[in-house]
Amino acid sequence: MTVTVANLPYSFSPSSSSQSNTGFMFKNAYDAWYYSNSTATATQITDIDYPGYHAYSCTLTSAGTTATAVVAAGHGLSVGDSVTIAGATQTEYNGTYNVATVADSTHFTYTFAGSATTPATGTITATGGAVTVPGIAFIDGYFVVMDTNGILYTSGLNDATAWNALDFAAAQEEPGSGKAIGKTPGYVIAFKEWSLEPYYDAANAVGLPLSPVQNQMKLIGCASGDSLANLDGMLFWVSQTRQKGRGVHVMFGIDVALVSTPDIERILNLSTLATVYSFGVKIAGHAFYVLTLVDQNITLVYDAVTKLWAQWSSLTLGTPVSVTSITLSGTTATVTATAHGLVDGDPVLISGADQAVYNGIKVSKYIDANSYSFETTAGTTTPATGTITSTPYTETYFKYTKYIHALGKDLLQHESDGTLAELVETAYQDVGKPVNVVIRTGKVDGGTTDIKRFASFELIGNKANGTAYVRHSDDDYVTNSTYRPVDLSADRSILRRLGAARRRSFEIKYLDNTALLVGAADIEVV
Amino acid sequence: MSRIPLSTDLKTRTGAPDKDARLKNCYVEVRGESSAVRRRPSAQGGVAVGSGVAQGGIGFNIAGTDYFIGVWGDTITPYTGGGTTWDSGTAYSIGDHVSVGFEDYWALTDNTGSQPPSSDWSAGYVPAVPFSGTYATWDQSGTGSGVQLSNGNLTVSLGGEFVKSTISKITGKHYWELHIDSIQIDVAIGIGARSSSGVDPTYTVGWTSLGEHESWKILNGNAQVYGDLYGAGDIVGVALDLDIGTIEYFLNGVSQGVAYSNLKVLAPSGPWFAFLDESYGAGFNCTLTANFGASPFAYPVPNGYNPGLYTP
Repeated sequence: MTVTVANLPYSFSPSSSSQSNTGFMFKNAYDAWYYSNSTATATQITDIDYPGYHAYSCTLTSAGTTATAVVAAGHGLSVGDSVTIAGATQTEYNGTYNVATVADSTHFTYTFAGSATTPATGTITATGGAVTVPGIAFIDGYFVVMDTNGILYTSGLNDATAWNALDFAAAQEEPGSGKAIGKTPGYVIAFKEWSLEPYYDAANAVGLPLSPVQNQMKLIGCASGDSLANLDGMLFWVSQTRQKGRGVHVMFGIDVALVSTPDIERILNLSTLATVYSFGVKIAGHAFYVLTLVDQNITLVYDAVTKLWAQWSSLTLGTPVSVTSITLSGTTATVTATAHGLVDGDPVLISGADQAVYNGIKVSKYIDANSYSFETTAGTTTPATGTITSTPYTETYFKYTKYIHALGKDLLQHESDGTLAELVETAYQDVGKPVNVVIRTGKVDGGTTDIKRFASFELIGNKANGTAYVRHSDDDYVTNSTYRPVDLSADRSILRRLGAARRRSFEIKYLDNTALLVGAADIEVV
Repeated sequence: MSRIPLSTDLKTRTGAPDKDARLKNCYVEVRGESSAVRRRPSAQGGVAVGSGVAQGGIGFNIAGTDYFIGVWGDTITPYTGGGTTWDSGTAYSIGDHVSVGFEDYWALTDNTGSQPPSSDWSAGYVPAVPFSGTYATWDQSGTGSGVQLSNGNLTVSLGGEFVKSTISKITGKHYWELHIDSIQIDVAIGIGARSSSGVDPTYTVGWTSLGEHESWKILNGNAQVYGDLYGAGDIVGVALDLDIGTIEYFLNGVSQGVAYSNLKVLAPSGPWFAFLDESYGAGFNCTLTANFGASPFAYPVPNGYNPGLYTP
């Protein structure tokens, strides 16, 4: 089926009976649908009391700059709602406005430029209503949504298509706009700008069946509704308070804890939060909250098991550059390609060589702007022949931005190309694209700032059929040495003769399509 | 000798990612008092279920069948798994990707009709072979002075005349697209045969529509009603099968049906050019932009067709 509003995040929530799934509701900010398992159809929710957009036939009159709309069949608009007027022959009436006054269920006014013939003619529609925030909570047979004014609405019992005008209540213990709605075991959580309010099913006979949990409002708000993610019954979100800026909090039941560090909060506070993706996934014995800040071009990942933060990224192929030549000396292939665009250690895709060993994903060793080298098999024909191209990769935030457990798999949706992929422990590339694994240590000084000679650096870990690349920085990460390869399949994965420094950090890069498990580095300092 | 652990939390003094300790694309395993760093899980089996911006979805059981019901752009698409299949007879080239049951395969060779997994396919990434041939453009030679070419000889203002492509074909299956930039009079979009300098008007095949009349297919000037109306902004796809002698048109990705199937009888040795004919529209002008394959096509290439008109 095709829905009407594009490019908005959607929320989904299944309903259930005692026997089986009966359907699910899904929505964006303006519209909502219900898929019924029994009829195998998706129906748009058109109940006038649902707090989304609705289209109303109306007539228009005006006095000065005030236009009065009369909706004979009744409307569900409130003051401040956005409404789009279309179809008036006198085009001055048409456009998108905010509702100025609501006299009753059939009349509302808005302010326009004025000076239009009255009454207006034409087939006129007014489309508008409340805007809902991300999330649908399902509790005891009710679907619960919230609008940007912080008002909660519940559906009819086990009926997402029926909404009652009286079944609403404002989360108003603390002022602020609505940001998201979520659910923890036994509770519906209304996330607002500067606070959160837990609700429980009080079985109220009139109005909203939910009631707020007394004395459990928290002065911890939500900075981005799209950051809310469920993970093993816990809710994670980018939080904000009036005093301390942004963080990441987790909620279990009605208990709240801060999980962000000052380092993570520095990144969060730099972001506009204009486009945020989040999901939670439990895999490999770990539980990850994956948070992407598009404007910062970063994906932050919190491991709820180890309570450590890391970074995930994706590599995307760039524009191919023609290769002038590839020559081989020993196991080192030197590529000449004008303006290849690589920096030392960048992955690069070589294509089109008649000799297969030259083709594929390589790790470049920068020589100059027009040449680089990579390691390959000795004894291959040189120079390479064929129509050869060198294609760099661009590193971005993790491009798989939606997670859904379905078909018995952990599925990911790619943000832009729409492909569906499975997240698995046993894959070491993202659908053919290398994964840029980087381990960067803190600074090592052995407890003294005296100049030390680093005689060797040895990686300790499982043997792997691949090559890691190691470099170091002696000036607080400002500049780096060039990468040196370390064979992880060798008896000892060791580098020697590493020069001298007072304080040194190391960086290990791994791009091969094999497993990697490393525990530590043995450093010989003399 | 000192041993330093590699597990670390993400550190940043400024919020910038290029300094301070951190793990990228890995996580920490804790084993007793020691720890190790393991690479993160990865995505495999890229299946093209929907297109457009990912909007999320839900796992759901409908009538006993498990579905992934996802939203891409403004379309919701149910999916039961299984992945992409490679239809028998469909050509593939080295580096083409296909996913079966969320397992990735890349073609090791140029071939047709071998379903993965097979010896034609690799479970490891195989890079595509860069294109080394030449794509067709419009050919100024043999045309009248009214024809104006631009945009690398891909955009043509016909000025009441005709134009043919620089490359012709005798055999094979070829697909290309034409964007209708502007249209003032009927223009026949199609193919022409048998002349190396200009096109012999005895053998022309086209599809014409002004957007306010009926649409016709035309063979050597004889017209029959065919297809939907097209106009400015539309994209016409031309699928030419010279192995069996058919031409089929697509309008914005929708097949209009095989227009003619007697090309091998009409001109058995060709060669056939891409051809545009506005020669009966003197005083009017039509402008079209061809995509002979040098740019990504707007719509899927029909199964088994070469993606463009090119040599070799």
